[in-house]
Formats: sequence, C-alpha cells, structure tokens
Amino acid sequence: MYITKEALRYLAMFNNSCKVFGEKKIKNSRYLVNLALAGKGISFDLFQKKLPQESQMYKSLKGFAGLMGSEEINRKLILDYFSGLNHLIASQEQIDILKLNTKGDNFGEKFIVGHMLLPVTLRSTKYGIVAVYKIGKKEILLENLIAHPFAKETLDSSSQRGYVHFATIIELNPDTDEWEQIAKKQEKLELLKDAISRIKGINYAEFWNLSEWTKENLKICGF
Amino acid sequence: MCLTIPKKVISKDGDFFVLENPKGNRQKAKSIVDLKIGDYCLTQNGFIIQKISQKEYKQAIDYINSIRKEA
Repeated sequence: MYITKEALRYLAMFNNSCKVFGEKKIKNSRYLVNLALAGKGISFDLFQKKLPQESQMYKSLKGFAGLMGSEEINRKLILDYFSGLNHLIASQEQIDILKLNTKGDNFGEKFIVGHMLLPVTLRSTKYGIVAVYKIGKKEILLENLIAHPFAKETLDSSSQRGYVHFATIIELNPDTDEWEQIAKKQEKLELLKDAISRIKGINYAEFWNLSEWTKENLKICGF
Repeated sequence: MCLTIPKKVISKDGDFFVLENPKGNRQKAKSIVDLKIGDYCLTQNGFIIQKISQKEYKQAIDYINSIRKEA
C-alpha cells in the first residue's frame, strides 16, 4: 500500500484541524506536515512505522482503502473517508462515550457537523472568512474559520466553493463535480441532517475554542 | 478528535462482527485482524483495527474516562 504526496498533504490538514490532546498527537502532526512538505509519496507501512507515536487512526484508513478496493491511499480516498458514513457514526459514538451531549449549547450536534468534511460555499467578509453549508433545504453558517496554509488558493471577496473540517478550510475551488458528489452523498446521511436541523451554525471562536486552538496548532507545526 | 474505542466481540454475522461498546451499545464492523467471539478489540471509524487483551480493554476504558473531563 502506497500513500501519494497529495494524500499526505490532505492527511496533514485533517490532522492539524482535528482537536487532539497531549504531546503524543502533536509529534505526529509535525511528522505529517514535514512529510507533506517533502513532497513525495511513500509506502504506507513505512509511513506508519516512522510515526513518532503509535496511532490507531491510520490503521483504520488502511482498512477503509481495502474496503474500497483501492491499492493506494490517495486524495480521493481521504476525502471519502472524512466525508462519509463511517466517520459520521464514529463521531456519534465519541459523543456517547465521552458524554459530549451533556456540555450544553448543542455541543453534540456541533461536534458531529464540525467533525465531517463539509462541501461549503466560502466568503471573505470584514468579520473574517465565513462558510455556508447546505443540506436539503437547511443552511447553516460556519464562522471564524482558518485557511490552512496548504489550501491552494487565496480567498477573494466573491463566493467560492471549498471544503471545511472543523475550523479549518482544507481546500478552495475543488473540482465542481467532486464537490457536488460529496454534497449529494451527505444528503443521504440522516444523522448529519438531524444534527444540522437543530443548529443555526457554528462560530468556531466560541465552539470548543477551536479557532484559537487551530491557530496554535498550526504554529506548533511550524506554520 | 478521533477516538479509538474498545469493544467486546459478541457474535459474527457474515463478514461483520457484532461488537459491544463500554456503554452496552452494539454495532456491526469489519475487521482487519483475526478475531473470535469473546475477544476484545479497538475500533476506529467503524473498523476493527486491533485485538487487545482484557487488561488493555480496561486500560482503554480508564483512558477514555480520563479524557472525558479534558474534552
């Protein structure tokens, strides 16, 4: 199994945007960023072997690749992994186990929505970058987002499509067909629709202190 | 945050294992490791990724309890 250089960039962005605890994960974040900056794909087994700290996450990614019949871990596989049903169910389970739904202010619903890769429409405003996520007839607003340094283009003032994961913009102006396919796939995720139906949006400056956390994490990773 | 959750193997249904999490909720999952009924395992994003001992299962539950406050 091989992981492509593009997949390493995306994995680094997902890792950087996912709120983690402890020194263990920070070391892995730095490792991923450095690998992505090196700009070369590598054997996935070698990638796992060289992780500074063992992580179960990457074992499941390999399992997902096997299930999808993919012989390599590439950008598309990573996007499918973080935008699909498995990731959604795992989010719900974390809420149950950690009792996150007892934290108030729809924390559980916001956790489910934030945890997924979302195809959004982005806009730069004087209050910062905002995103609109639409599912069915419902729209929510995502505020105080941070553009990951690996995201390809500079955001201008006009609306454009992109991908968001927690408080981080992962990509700007992705392929339109791909963006629409992910949106259509998510239309069928009842758990996600249900969570969205109960919130108006997520302000990441307030929710879980994620805007600030993301900035700090990126700084630690050398950005 | 992507948490690895310890579970017990309850039964097998075709290619899927029926698992029970520490709260008693059950789900089906595919495995990338060999397992039998009664084993303990770790799951991540819906996949069984590692077989663990009963002692490690208890340690994993203790870890989850410890980060519940931090989360």
